[in-house]
Amino acid sequence: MAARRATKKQAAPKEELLKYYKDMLLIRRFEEKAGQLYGMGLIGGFCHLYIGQEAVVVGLESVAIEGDKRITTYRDHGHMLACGMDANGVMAELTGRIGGYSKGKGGSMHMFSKERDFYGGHGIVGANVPLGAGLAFSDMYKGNKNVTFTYFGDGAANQGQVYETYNMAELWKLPVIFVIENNQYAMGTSVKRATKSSSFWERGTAFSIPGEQVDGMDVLAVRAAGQKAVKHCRAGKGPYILEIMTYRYRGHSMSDPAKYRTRDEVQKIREERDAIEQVRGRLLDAGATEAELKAIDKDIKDVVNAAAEFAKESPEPDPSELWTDITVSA
Amino acid sequence: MATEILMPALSPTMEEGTLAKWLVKEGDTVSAGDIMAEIETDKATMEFEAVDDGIVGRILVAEGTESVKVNTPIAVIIEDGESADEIEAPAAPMAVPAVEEPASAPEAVAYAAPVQPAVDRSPDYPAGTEMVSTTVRDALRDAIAEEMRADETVFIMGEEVAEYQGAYKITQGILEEFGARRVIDTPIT
Ligand SMILES: Cc1ncc(C[n+]2csc(CCOP(=O)(O)OP(=O)(O)O)c2C)c(N)n1
Ligand SMILES: [Mg+2]
Repeated sequence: MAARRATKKQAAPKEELLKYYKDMLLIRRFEEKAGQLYGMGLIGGFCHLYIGQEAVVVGLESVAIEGDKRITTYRDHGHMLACGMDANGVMAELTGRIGGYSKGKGGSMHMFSKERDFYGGHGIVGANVPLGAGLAFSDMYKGNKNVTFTYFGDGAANQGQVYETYNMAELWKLPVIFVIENNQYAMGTSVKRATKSSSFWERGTAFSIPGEQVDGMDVLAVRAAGQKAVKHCRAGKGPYILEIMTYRYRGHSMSDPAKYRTRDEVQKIREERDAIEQVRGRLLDAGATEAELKAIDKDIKDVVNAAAEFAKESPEPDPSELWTDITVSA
Repeated sequence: MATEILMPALSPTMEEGTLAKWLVKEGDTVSAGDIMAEIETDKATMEFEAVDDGIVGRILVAEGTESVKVNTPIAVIIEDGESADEIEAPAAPMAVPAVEEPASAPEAVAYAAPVQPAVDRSPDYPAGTEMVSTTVRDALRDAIAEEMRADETVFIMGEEVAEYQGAYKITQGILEEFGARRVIDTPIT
């Protein structure tokens, strides 16, 4: 059983690093802007930011092929951007406008894209895990080589339905990658206050599912682990568990008094382990110039500002929209 | 370009708050993510982060100011080389974007008007009961505390009920009063 933590430092050519840099920076700037719009009262309801965790989804998307599926939790904006959904449509959904992915009727946690095989944000902790296995079942049934990335948190990893799903997934050899984004907190409850187990991936061994723990602040380490996982799944060997060690810099949601951790703890990780800074450093080592990176920063700011403008200008849905999209014609 | 920093809404219902503390001063360099201030609402104290890089050009609302309306400019961020003197002091707080009336009336949907059942609206509490004005949240908290004070065998367990003071602050102060034996945090279930 694969049980080793990927310790070898990975390397990548400059072009590849540039892509990860752009993709991660887009998520971070998008989320900062969303936080700002929330503060201005333009976004209502729940809003959970992904800042700090960018390398997880960017690393895994780099090993996805056409037709692979992804499903995640309410902390979902990063996953949508990383799989190629349009920033304008995501931001406009946050502000509840007709130009949003769910015509402004879903909000932060309820967006979907058939084109990009994105099966949603889900607000019920743990509930997306069996759904992810169901998606993988459809690929097994059809006999194709696609896999489903099923993302959930360290808090969700203590849910009973996760283990029922593990059991069936291995029994039927479903091509599903269970991605535990271990950001060390479930709202205000640290992992240490929620379980005596020292790791989450190891629980898979009880069901004969292999897995490993990965440094989630290093996009290349995530990519390397992702490559192993998809290889296992596409070969018909069944599910794989990736426990990705990451950290969320912001509060659980927008109204989180953050009394459960110290400012220093957050600051230390930002300064020493930030995923974007790591790639930035690697890029400079690989010969990129400050001017080149500054130009990228500006391009991304432009994309995000344009998304915010679109999200403010797009009209609110007409009240008659209350009566649409309730049933689907088969 | 100078950018105004506006008083943020830290929850969907927040209309105003107290600018409890500035963690930066005029002339400080800030980068996105740095904590600039602490804002207090009736629910909690929260940190407010910078969303962009720049220099604190001017602080417009002094710390300790109460009832600062959401979207009031509270500071100005300038870029390197700019002078804070060029900033005009903004006059009035910016209005919260108003929800516009939809231009076209929604398509009429035919529904039978629901039949109004006869409701007995006479109070079900003794005449002369003294009323207090409170929030639902505080009423629930007080009811829980009342039961726990009256009966030593009553305890509460659930996600975030203890140290976090309740995800929606319904158990605020309960852990402090009754201790960890009777107020128990559980993992997600
Ligand atoms: C079944 C269920 N229980 C509780 C909640 C409330 N809740 C929302 S998010 C959350 C924390 C989940 O933490 P984790 O799984 O670690 O994900 P993270 O927020 O860290 O991404 C809780 C308790 C919920 N939405 N659903
Ligand atoms: Mg978590």
